[in-house]
Amino acid sequence: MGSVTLRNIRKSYGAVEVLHGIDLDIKDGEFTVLVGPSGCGKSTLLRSIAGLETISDGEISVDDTVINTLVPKERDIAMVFQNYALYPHMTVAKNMGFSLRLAKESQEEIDKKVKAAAEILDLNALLDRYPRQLSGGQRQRVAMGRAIVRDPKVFLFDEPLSNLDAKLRVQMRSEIKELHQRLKTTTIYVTHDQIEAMTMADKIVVMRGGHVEQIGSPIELYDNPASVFVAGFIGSPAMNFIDAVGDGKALKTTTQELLGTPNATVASGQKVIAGFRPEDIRLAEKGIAAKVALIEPTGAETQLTLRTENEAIIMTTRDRITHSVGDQVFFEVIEGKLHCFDSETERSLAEGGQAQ
Amino acid sequence: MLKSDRFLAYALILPVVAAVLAFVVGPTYNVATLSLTQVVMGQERGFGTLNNFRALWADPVFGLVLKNTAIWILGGTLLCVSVGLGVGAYLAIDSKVTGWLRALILLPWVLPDVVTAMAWKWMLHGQVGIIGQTLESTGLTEGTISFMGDPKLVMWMLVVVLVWRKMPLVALILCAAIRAVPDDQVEAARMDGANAVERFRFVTLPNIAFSLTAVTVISMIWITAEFALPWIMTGGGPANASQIMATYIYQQSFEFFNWGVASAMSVINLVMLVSIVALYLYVNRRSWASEASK
Ligand SMILES: Nc1ncnc2c1ncn2[C@@H]1O[C@H](COP(=O)(O)OP(=O)(O)O)[C@@H](O)[C@H]1O
Ligand SMILES: [Mg+2]
Repeated sequence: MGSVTLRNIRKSYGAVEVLHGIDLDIKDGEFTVLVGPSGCGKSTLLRSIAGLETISDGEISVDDTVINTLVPKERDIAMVFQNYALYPHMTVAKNMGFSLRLAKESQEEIDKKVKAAAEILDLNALLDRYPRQLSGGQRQRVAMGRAIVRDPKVFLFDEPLSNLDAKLRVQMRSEIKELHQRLKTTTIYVTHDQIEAMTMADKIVVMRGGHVEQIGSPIELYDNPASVFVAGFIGSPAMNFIDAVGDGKALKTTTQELLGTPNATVASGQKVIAGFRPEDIRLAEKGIAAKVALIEPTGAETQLTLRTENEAIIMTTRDRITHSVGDQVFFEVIEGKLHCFDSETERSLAEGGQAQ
Repeated sequence: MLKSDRFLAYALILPVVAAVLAFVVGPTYNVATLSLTQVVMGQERGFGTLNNFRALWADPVFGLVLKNTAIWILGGTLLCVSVGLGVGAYLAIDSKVTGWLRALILLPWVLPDVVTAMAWKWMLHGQVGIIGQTLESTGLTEGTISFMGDPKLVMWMLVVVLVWRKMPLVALILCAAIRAVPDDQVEAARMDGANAVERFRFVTLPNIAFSLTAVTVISMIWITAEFALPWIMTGGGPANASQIMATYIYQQSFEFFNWGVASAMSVINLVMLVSIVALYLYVNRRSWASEASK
């Protein structure tokens, strides 16, 4: 078992508060990803859960036991660091067995557990090597092995893939995910990469400036972003945003072109921010006029940059494009895919969007 | 093209090679030949004899000198490094106090040898020394102790002053090494359940092994070469009780003009030093491959 509950977590460095009251419930076995731009406090939050930082206020519980005041070793939590943090003077086997050795387990027991973990991670052939003799991906696996042998209640990962090259990153991503499906240990995973978050998470926590911006499954965040920030952060290429005005049930651009009916009720004349994803617009006979400014084929998809009077709109399509740069086209937003945010607070105006 | 590059390379290192030959190899060669030469009252009388070494062997003081030198070099190095390690570990902690101490601790290091020696000589003086008087007035001892006059104590007093003088730099070097240990390794050890002592033992120590060995070898060389401190404080006395290699070599050559015997001792000193350094380098090389524990 390993459910984690955070209540009103605050953390200050001197006079500067970097976490402003974080609340979070993580169910046993869940894969939770903390995502947000650099400096938003993800690492600080993770390290607070690990016990490497003392929090200024609030309560951290694992399985209904408050662990705020416990030292890391008493928390039954394992952590995988960004730079692997392997002990350079110990072999892979010693690195993995170090915690067990400190816990005074017998050498037989240690060997058995290290072997089992090495089996899972495909490290058997490397047990006698030193960290400097391993590649980045192998080091990463040893770091995970060190966490696995302890069989903790919770795994913490702090940007574990950011030092790997793009291809290896994709491979390790699925390895970590597979590992989780196999061990079913509660996992909290920090990244600034929204693709990692989308592909791995059961639950995503989007953070911004020491606050939680939105919590939900990847699809929930994608379909119903609670704010302009989340909408822009999740999904690639990012959502298009333009200023718009309410007109009856519909939204119009500031140049009086019809955008469509949003997923919220808007008063006539109310100024809002309209948002629509690049994949949710299509070229049409009529609609909003634009000029093709850029065509970027990526193989399966083509990305178009459309220039309207005031904005540049990104559009992706799987259709073959017959237009060329400079052509006059019209586009429309697909029914039901028009998001709508308050222009002051930048929160979603959709049902439930104000919650959080 | 290649040939002229080569010529240039040799031409560029030539000054250094010449300097090393002139200032290192030359004098060493001179001392070595002198140790094999019979010298009477400063006059050379025949080359190719081991008489100087035989004379040393027969000299009853030389045994005492060897014992004192062992205390001086081994005791001094061991204390310098172990105290330095402790102090360095403390200085590595981030706080206002340690910030000031890091600067302050260099004070003994910047004082000239002569000043250090005189100051300690007076502080340890049998009758008027502040240390003896303080011990007496607080009732810790009955009467004052003659630190420098007691043959059993004097050598250790020298070692204490030596540590006071040499330890700060050792501490600073080790402090820097400890601060360079990656934080995440220490944190990983915390997550693995290591307490402060275990973290020091299993993470910090192996990470600073290189600096530690280097600083040990360097201290040993410094201490072997240190002459002014013991010479000014005791001059080898009382009755040779604090006579060490450095002071005895000086006495033999510049007071008794036994150049040959003094050279022989210098050669022994050099061989000792070289073998110690070689041993340490060898040990150090080995300690990289294997885990420091076990
Ligand atoms: N030891 C520290 N002292 C002071 N400020 C810190 C310290 N560690 C982190 N911070 C600040 O806290 C904020 C959050 O940092 P961090 O949790 O590392 O962000 P993230 O991991 O999301 O990139 C940053 O603004 C950073 O400057
Ligand atoms: Mg971080």
